[in-house]
Amino acid sequence: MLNFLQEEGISPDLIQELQAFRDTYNVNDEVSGRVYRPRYFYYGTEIWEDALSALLCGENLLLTGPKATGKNVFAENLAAAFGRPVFNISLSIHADAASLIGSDTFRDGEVVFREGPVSRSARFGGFGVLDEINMAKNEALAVLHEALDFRKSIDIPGYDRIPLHPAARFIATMNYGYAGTRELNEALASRFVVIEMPAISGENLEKLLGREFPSLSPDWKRQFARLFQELQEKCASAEISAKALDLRGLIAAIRLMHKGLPAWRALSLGIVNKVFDPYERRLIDDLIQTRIPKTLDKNTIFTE
Amino acid sequence: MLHPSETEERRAKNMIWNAAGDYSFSPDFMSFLADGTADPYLNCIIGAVRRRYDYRPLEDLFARMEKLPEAVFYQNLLWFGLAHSVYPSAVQDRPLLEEMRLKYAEGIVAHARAYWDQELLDRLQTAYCANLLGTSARLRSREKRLYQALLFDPALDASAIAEQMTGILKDFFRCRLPERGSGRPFLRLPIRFAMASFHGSPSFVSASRVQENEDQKADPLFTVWLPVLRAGGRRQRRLTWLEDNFGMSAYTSRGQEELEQLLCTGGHRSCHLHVTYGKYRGTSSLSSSSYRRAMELQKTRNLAFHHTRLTRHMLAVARMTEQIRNVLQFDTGGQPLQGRSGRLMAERVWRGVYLHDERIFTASDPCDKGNLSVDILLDASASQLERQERIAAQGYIIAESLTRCRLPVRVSSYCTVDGCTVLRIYRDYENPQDNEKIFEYCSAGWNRDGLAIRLAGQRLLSSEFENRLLIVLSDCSPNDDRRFFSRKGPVPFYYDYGGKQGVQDAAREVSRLRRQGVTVLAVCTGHEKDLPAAREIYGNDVVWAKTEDRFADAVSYLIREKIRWF
Repeated sequence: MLNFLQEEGISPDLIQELQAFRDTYNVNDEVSGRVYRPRYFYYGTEIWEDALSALLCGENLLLTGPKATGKNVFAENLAAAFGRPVFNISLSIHADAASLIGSDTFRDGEVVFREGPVSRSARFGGFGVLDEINMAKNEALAVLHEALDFRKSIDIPGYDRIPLHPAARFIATMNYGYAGTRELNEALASRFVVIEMPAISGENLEKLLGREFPSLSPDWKRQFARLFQELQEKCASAEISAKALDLRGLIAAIRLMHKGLPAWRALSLGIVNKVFDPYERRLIDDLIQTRIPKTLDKNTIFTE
Repeated sequence: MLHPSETEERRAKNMIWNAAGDYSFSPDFMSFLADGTADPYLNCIIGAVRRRYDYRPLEDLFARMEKLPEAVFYQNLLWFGLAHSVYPSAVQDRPLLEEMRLKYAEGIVAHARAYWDQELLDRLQTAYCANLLGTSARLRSREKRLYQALLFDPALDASAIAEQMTGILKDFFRCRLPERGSGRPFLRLPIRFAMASFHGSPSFVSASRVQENEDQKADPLFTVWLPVLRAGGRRQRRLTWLEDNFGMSAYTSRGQEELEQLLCTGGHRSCHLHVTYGKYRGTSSLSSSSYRRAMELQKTRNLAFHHTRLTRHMLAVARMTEQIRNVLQFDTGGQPLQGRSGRLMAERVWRGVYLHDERIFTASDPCDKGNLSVDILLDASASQLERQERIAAQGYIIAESLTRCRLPVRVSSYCTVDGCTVLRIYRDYENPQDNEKIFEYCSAGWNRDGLAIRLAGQRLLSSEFENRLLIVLSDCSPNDDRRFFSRKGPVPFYYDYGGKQGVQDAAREVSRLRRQGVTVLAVCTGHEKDLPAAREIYGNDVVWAKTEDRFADAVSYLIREKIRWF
């Protein structure tokens, strides 16, 4: 991971500090299985430097941005860069304090406290990823206030106060435009530093595709990246819904092409078929037909 | 089913926007194949011209050509040259254009008529396409000179191209371009005759007529350059007017068609719908829209009214917020659920020890009041003219109070103009910061309450919330100049939409919505004499407040009573 950061041109001072952080804090064996090696890398030097600086200063991060900007990929990348276990907390309107910090349960004839992901994060020095934080009610999130500010602890009613492990951090993600989302209250927002995630640039998308598919020819890498950018523009101008704006879908389609499926069919499976409105599908087909030939196959796309 | 030309027009626009990498303009030219479908290659070229060149000099040139008798012919000549000059830069970004261009050229050459049967533009196009395919086609020496002059150097900028084209018009056609502001120096023939007379071919018809043209069937790859405004029929004109005055539609043309098919049925079958967030196209100007100007003026008045009574209004907001919040926080409604984790219930501990029943905790009810949405619908018909400021303020007070209780709120207004019921959305569930937009409220036209409630209900029911509350602020006097169709008797009959018929129709829609699980409340904004009609439509769930001070208490009482039942 550190090699990747060096390749990306991240400031050597930050990488040095990151290394020192990793050397200082070991991972408890109980949660070592939660230290992941990321499947995808996040590209964007400036965003990386902002986030690393904030986390090294002990701040918590709020990543905001529309769909397909890599918020969750980046959160996992950050945990991997710091070498910390990840605790994913998917929030919804039904989330309450108990689902975050834990609640009483009955085990072997006695009432015991069952830790929630936030408490475990606090105890083991993990990175708690609060996914879609603005889906949850602010009242439910109030329990996090103490953990996120200078007090760095969680006071569980009826039990002890858990001091936050010095390596513990919280990274929240949110998409402001989704239906069902709420306004984050000031008290909670002030406990995060906020990074507005930009849409992935063509250059970074090419890098991502290049790393995922080393044998993908540069010309086609560029065309697939441009195709995705054009989908982004079409979504931004509200001509199509965000259903087709699916980076995972594009990567899956290229993987299918690598398996031997013709490019058009693979793109249909990965992108076009995710849209159920026939008119929208037609617009997406139009996009593809001006970039990708119908006869395109594996032998042309890959150089192996 | 949507008229094909409308869908295809939208497709063509998308192809152009996509190639231009810019969605902020409305294309003035589009290209269609003979079967009425959008032409991918030429629309890409139109978009590429927008991307490659500063379009202003070209736009100016097209506008000046428009004043010439042979406008379409000259414009097509210019596009012929632009397609050549823009190609090298376009193909760099989109290599597939090379294949598309060859396919296009093959089509043109394969369907080309004999030299003597062709018009000048067809000859030039056939020669160009033949050249691309490595063959040649006949051109006279004068035509060859014109052909060479039209192949603009790709290195030229837009101004240089415009200058060169002006020279071509002068040298080859003895034609002097009029200035942009000057009038048309000749009598304009109707478009069908104008096109036919200059090109001698019945195949040059607008895109909507292409399908009807028998000659075109033998010539399927023939391409028609079409100025966008001419594509529009009555539907397009209405949409343009609505978009200029109220804002762009929130639906695609297909979505709009489906919505009307779904809702404009029964007595409303001759009506139309327009749903908008009040966003205008960049090309739409304030000066061309009377409603928009009135709205701007009314917004100033609404805000002035609000600011002079700010203390009173904010006190009403605070009082209403407090009362609703109390219900949301402390009125738990049902019994606590038993669960395997949560808060320990001391009186059930023995069951865990002796009966091994682990459900000795209280769990939270997932279907709590948190999953509640509120829609506020303001009547914006001309009958509200005298009290616009007050209605805007009332809408704001309710929306702001509910927002402070963190409830998702949507505020819209409705009016009916020329048979089209317009739903203007000021703020949506996910935009709590937009409450001030409610002051853009402006009344105009009629109010077809039944259709407006049906439309608001349809949008409400398609949201993901489990509990839905609709608050209508209206004088409860439905009235529309478009009549109401009824089939009750043996003979179909048209009633005036107003009075008893209007009230009954609105009552039917409210009742239908309630059966679908939506709670509907009304605030009667009219006079005391309007209350009987309001009661007929909304039953007992109506408030009418004589003074503003009473307004907050009356509305919050009704809301609280309803929320309690969720």
